[in-house]
Amino acid sequence: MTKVNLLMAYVPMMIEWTEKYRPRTLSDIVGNGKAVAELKKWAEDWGVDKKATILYGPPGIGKTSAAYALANDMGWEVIELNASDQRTAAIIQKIAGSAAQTGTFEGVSGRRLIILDEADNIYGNADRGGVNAIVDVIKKTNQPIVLIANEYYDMSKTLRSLCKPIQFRSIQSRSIIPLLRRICRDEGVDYDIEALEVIVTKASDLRSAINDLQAIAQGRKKLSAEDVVIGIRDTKGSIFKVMTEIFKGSDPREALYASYTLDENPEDFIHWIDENMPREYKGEDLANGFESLSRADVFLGRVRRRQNYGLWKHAGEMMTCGVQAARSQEPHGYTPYQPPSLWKKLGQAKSVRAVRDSIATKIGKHCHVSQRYARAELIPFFKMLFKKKECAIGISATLDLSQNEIAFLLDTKDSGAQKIYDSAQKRIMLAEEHAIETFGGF
Amino acid sequence: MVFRAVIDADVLKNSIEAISTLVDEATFKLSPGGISLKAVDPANVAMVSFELTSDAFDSYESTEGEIGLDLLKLVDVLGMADRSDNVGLELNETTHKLTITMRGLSYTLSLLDPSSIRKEPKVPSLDLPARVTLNGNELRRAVKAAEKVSDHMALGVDGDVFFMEAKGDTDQVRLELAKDELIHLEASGPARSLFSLDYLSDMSKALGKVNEITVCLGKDYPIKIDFMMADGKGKVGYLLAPRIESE
Repeated sequence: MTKVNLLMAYVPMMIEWTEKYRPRTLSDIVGNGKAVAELKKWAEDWGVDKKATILYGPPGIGKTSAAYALANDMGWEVIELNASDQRTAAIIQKIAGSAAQTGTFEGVSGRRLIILDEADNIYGNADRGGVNAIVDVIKKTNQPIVLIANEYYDMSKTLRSLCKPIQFRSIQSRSIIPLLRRICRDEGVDYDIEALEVIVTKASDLRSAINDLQAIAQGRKKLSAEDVVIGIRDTKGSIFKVMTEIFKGSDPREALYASYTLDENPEDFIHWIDENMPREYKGEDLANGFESLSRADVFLGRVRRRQNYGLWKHAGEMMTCGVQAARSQEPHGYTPYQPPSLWKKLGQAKSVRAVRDSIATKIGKHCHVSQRYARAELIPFFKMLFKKKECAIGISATLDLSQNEIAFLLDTKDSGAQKIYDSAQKRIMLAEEHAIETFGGF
Repeated sequence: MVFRAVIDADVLKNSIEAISTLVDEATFKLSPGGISLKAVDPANVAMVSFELTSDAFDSYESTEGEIGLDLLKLVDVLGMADRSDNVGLELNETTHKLTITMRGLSYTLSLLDPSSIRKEPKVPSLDLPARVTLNGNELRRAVKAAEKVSDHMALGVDGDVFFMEAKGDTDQVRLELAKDELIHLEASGPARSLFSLDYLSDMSKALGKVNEITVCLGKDYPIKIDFMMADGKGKVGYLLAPRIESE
């Protein structure tokens, strides 16, 4: 879950209201009174034991804000490691490890709060050692540590057992309205209360409500309910509308603006366009379209390398306006857009790997070799053995292979696997019955 | 904003290396009087401050301003210069680049946006009771010895003795320097603090080259290490937060 959303990436020069109106103290946090009180108590008691805490809950409801506000209230210094940093084991050890072992420039009694944002997302960003490094830092820490996560159970058990969990819940829409009113007042925007109500009901969380308010209200003196209707954040379903705008529309501005309303980051969005362009464009247009898209991809690469999210803007322009401009022929008819097949393929590859690994474990156990050895050296032999049906049944029974595993070794998806599985299971049953008959008397 | 200067390669290299040992990127303040910087490492544990007056340069012309630099790249580029070379620096404000020239070579280095670099740290005023002046190489030697047994070491002053000690799981190291082996020592009370060797080791790379460094210490307080470079026209200061002793 990335925090730099598409909308904001396009307007790098203005101050985000989410940042400008970020609560400075815990008492300014909207909602989640119980969690905030727990967090405060954790901080006040910190030192008796040096347990870390995990703040978890859906995005955009003030977990990170609460951590910063807490540090401010307690007079603690803050360092944050978020997902845009490279969180390899070495870097975690170096930065978080040093920060956790050291006092501040005020001496050993100085406190520093270490915030590890998106702690449920460490596998995705770094090598697996990353989690171990964090566990190690938490075990040895002499400074308070806050982990922030969306999904509590996406974190390893070890990590969970070391931290005190504090749950943040979604904020009710009516608690958000007073905050939006205050922002409007401070920004000098007149508003109809209905307008704010619409924003709040359409937004999924506090952060997106503020972002939407900014997108709609900035530059206006007065905000009425009608303004909100055109500017509202589209939900997932309408990515199809944006695609229609790009592939069939004729106004580049419309296409670009339509993409602003998506809550999809450009890294994912580009796959949607990539997937669907060939359904829409032919010949020369297709080549030119991909030319634009590849330029967008170059920008995405630069964003990743340089961590300069301002460049997302150019990627966005290339993949919307650029792709639209590549079309020379009149659009025709209805096109059924599809979600990116790449994702499906990646997902499938993952499940195939899982099956392969579980076979390797079973073989390894039976043959007294490591899973790795079984995977690299023995599975090919087993595939050969499986060419003979009798052999396949015998092995399947001995190793108690599942249907998926049998299908993997047979390299098929047809009913062959089913038959072998049934025969193998029958054989296992017979063997058991035989064992019961033989040894039943003892 | 104008910045145009020529400087001895060796001076520039030593200056940048003294900074880049702690931070990868930093914002330099430019002014007619010279350049300066304050930067903190990513863990907020160590700080470096740096000043180089305009007379350290062969020629110097600058208005007020600031530029963000990728120090690792800069060190890399300066690696191409010979010790005796002169290095030319010129800022192109419109393209947002710094041109570095040396004996016919010309590099154009993209500047970093200062707003993307960690902010200058808040530094509390510190009243450190002990102050020791010694050869930088002595401290470097102590750090090297300590690294053989542990990942942290204590530095302190006890009476007229400046001491450094490190205890590992099985072994320990202690180095003592009496007042007459030091350039200067004054202390209004005992001082002893623990420091992470990772950082001391990084700092001592620059310290080892210096004949005279001043070390200020307190009890469980940060260590402050200052030294001059470029014949007194440059000043480098390190501040390192103390390590918390685990019970």
